[in-house]
Amino acid sequence: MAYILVERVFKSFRWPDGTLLQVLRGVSFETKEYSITCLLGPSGCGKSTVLNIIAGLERADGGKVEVKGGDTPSGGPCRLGYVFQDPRLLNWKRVDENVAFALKGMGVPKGEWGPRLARYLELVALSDFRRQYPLFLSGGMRQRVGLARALAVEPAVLLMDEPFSKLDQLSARRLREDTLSICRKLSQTALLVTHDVEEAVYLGDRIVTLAARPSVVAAIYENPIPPADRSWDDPRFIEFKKEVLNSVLSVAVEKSSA
Amino acid sequence: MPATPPDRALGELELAEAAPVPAQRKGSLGEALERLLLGAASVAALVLVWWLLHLIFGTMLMPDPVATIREVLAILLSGTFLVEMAASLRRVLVGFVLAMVVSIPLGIAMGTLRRAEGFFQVPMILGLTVPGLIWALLAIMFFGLSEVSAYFAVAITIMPMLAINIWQGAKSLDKDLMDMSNAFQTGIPSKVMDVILPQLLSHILAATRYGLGLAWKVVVVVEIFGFSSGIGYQIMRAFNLFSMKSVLAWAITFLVVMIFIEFGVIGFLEARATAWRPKAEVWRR
Repeated sequence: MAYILVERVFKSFRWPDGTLLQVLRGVSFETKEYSITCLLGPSGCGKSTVLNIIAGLERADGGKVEVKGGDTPSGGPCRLGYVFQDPRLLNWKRVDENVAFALKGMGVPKGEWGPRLARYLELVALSDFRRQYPLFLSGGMRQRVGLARALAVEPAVLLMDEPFSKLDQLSARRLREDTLSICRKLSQTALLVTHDVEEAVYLGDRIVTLAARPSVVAAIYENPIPPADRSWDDPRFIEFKKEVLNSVLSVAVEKSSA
Repeated sequence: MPATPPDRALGELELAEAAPVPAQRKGSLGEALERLLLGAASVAALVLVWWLLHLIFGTMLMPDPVATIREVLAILLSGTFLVEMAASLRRVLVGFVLAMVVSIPLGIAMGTLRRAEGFFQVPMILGLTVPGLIWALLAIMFFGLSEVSAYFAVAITIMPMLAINIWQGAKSLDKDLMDMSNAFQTGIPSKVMDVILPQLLSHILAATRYGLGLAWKVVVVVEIFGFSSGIGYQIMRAFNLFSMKSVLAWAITFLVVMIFIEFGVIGFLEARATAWRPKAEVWRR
């Protein structure tokens, strides 16, 4: 079993002029194991902050974040794989070296690197490009490298921070479909942050919506459509998308009129 | 709503867009030739000016270029050349490496730690303004006429310049990549080797260029002060004989070696170190 538990997490930032900006006001939710949980909210609501706190890149002011991995034989802290909004690749390293960089960081024994590189680059359909430098690849392919890098550490939970938002529409759609099928194939527990309702409904088995800043959890949906049946023009899909969209909009309106 | 194209079409589209275009520009041979010709033309112009000066001032003050080149060849063929050149080059390189070993960590610290920047900024900028001649004098007074004073004078003269270059580079290190390496729990050695140094490489190479040029200037001064080997010593000897031809000829031998280092060694390193970057020179004329 692998999951993330976020309980009453608070976070404020201090502007350079000293004023305090509260971003998170007691956010609580839990990811669904072996499936994708989507954290959905308007931009600037602190979604990425939640992800950074989980990954240990930022510290919460209060509350509890618990990451439990199923099988870490060492008993150490379990692994997280992070896919960023920009691919954040080391442009001076080849595709496979970029993936190996994460393996080295996570302390994966060198003997395992070869098979893992082969396996995960194959999964994201980049086997033929493993000796290329990232700047010679398209944006979509670079983001695939980022995905392979995060998957290759075989994380308990895969964290994704709006990984499709900077891609062109076609690449984004294709990568969403591939991400869904890869996560299903690997039974990967994943947490995806997004502001795109359609994306959340397509990828998320559980959808957690956040209200505008300072954020609290507005609603939690369980996706009634099984992953295999989700398609962009299916009436059930469109219906569910409307429901989630309305709730997100109503929260946003309440906030702005308050 | 338009029908969604089948998967395969989408995949092909992405690949087509992505087809890696190794930026081989056509006619790169012609371009190399043009570059060579331009270089040759600039040398020819220099020799022409030199020859005009020779006509105006006479052989005593400005020797005939051809005779000087003959002198250069004579020096190159004489047994002493390699010994003298090796002595000078060794002083340049040891001093340079010492300075670089100090400058890289110092520059990174100044670029990333506010306190290190505050503390070292003033000495570095002051150091930049101290003439190499003063360091040469101080070094000889302190260490005597030993190799150490040559190494010291070279290292301390060029160190501020190297450190300031690397500091500027370190200020623009990518914070997102640091976060990324933290997210994958990268250790400090890997952070330095895989993330930080590659970002600083172009600054380090630029610093190397200036640094070697400056190091040579200091070495000649130190050698003139009283060493009994090295190019500077030979120039001093030629000066004592008031042989303008020999002064110029010895200087030219060193220029040739430095040009080889600049275009051969550093150029080669630079080409290798930037192979990952698509060439974006279309805008240049």
